[in-house]
Formats: sequence, structure tokens, C-alpha cells
Amino acid sequence: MKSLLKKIFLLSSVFIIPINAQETASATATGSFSVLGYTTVTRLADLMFGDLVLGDNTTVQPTSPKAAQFLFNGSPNTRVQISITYPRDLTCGSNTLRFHSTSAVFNTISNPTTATPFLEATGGEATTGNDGNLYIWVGGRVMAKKKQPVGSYNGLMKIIVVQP
Amino acid sequence: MRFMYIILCLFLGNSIFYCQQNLSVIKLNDIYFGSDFGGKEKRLKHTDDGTAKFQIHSKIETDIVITILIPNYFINANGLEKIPISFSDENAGWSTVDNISSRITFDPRQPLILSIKENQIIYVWIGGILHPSQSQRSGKYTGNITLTVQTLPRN
Repeated sequence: MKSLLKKIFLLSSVFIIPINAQETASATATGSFSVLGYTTVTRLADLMFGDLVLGDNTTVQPTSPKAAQFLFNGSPNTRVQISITYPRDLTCGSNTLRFHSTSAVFNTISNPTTATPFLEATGGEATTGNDGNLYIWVGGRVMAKKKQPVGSYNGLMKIIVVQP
Repeated sequence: MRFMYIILCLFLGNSIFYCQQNLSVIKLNDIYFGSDFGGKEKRLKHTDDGTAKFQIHSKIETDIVITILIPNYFINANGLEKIPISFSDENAGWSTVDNISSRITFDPRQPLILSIKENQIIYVWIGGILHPSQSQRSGKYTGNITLTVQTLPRN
């Protein structure tokens, strides 16, 4: 039994000594920095409905030369969020002409015929091109009442592009 | 047999006692360089706000060596874009008290050997120098700094 005790004691000593000799502890901190991107949005063209006959309506498709056109420039090949706000009415003094949003399209080159439609007329996600460009075209529809006062009607459309 | 069982329990008890960690390191703060446009160097001295802060505690009096694993780059979310990061001796400091005036500057690229008393706390602050390029892609970039403390055997 004494011999066994001696073995256990020696065994525990063998285990204990190296464990107590050196200890290590560590912790990790995460560093972060956000690079801001230079971005611009330029209006290239207004949405032009042209002349309208009383009691008639007209629609401008986003692929039409009459569509509003914007150019966003930011970081290349980057996913961005586009948000388009339409006027409720076009106005001429105190007279109003009801405006209806229809659809909008985007492309990385200046060609609306090969553009991709947004899922919603109010915009959505898109990816900039190799040069950071993203072209956006916006259409709309207006309807003149039979007794619509004549005049030149206009309204403001806003576009917001968020680049992360 | 019962006697052997008692001895075995004593042995395990001893082992557990001796395995207890006398040394601990806690991260108190991450490093935050803020946000800015590319092309501007971002320097974070150890006395600036936003540095990483660590707390070292020892239950026993001992000598320790502190080594810091520092990254070469901060990397963006897709892992493809990098910002080089460098360090100098203005970027790291340590102190036994938690204030700026008592901090001692050291080079985080080299191991630091210190003596720590029983139940003493040592604080370590680490900053760095980020070098975003003029054409740096926008977005968030991150990197890890790991501080490791090892006790040294005393003669």
C-alpha cells in the first residue's frame, strides 16, 4: 500500500509541476473603421408629358425619351438603395392635375432599352457599374379632367440613393 | 479499495487546485477609428479615445511577458478589400492605474516584460495607424488585436 501511495504522490507531482510553471491568458479586441464614399446624384432630364387634351390621359414609360433621367455615381460594383418620391399632384397656381406613378428602371450604362425595372415604382436595390455609375429612368401618368383649367403644370420628384 | 478511492480524490483535488488560473486578461474596449473618406491617414495614439483597452490581473506576484498579435490589414465584409495598418511606440501604453498621465509607452510589435504584484491590475491601451488609399472602397473594415500574457518562471 505504501508503494502505491508513493506512486500516486509521484504521479500527482509530475502533473502539478508543469501546470503551475507557466500560465497563459489572452483576450481579443476588434477594431473597426468606416470609409465614407463620395457620391453624387445628377438630374439629366425632367419627366415631360407634353401637351394634353382635356379629358384625356397620357403615360410616359421609363424607357421613353420623355422619361425623367438621373445619374448616380458612387463606389464601383456596390449595392445601393434607391428611393423615389413622387408628387401627389402637378400644380399650376391653385389648380391641380393628378399624377400617378407607374414604374422606374435602372442600368449601369446610359441605355434605358436594356434597363432593369425596379420591383416597385418607388425604387429598390441596384448595383453600380465598374465606373460607379447607375442610371435611373422614371415614368408616370397624368389625366386631365374635361374641365381642367389650361396652363403649364409641374411638380417635384425626389430621388434618394443610399450607399452603405 | 476505499482507501485508494480517498487517495484518488485527494489527487484530483490537488490537481484542480493547482490548475486554477492565477492570471486573467479581459478586453474592456474594442478599437474604434471612426469614419472618414479614403486617402486620409487615421492615427490613434494610446492616449486617444477609441483605443483597445485590456485589463490584466494576477492572483500571485510573478513576472509576465505581454505579446500582442497585430493584424497587417483591416478587411471589409466581403474580405476582398484591405486597409493597411501599422503600429509604432506611440500606439501602445500600460499602467497599473486607469488614467492617462501614468501610462508608460511601449512598442506593441515587441514583447513587453513586466513584474506584477499579487492581486495587482495592469491596464494596456493599444491604438494604431490606418492607411486608407484615395480610391479605398467605401464600407466598414475590421481587424482583430489579440493580447496574450504568459507568466515567466522565477529563479
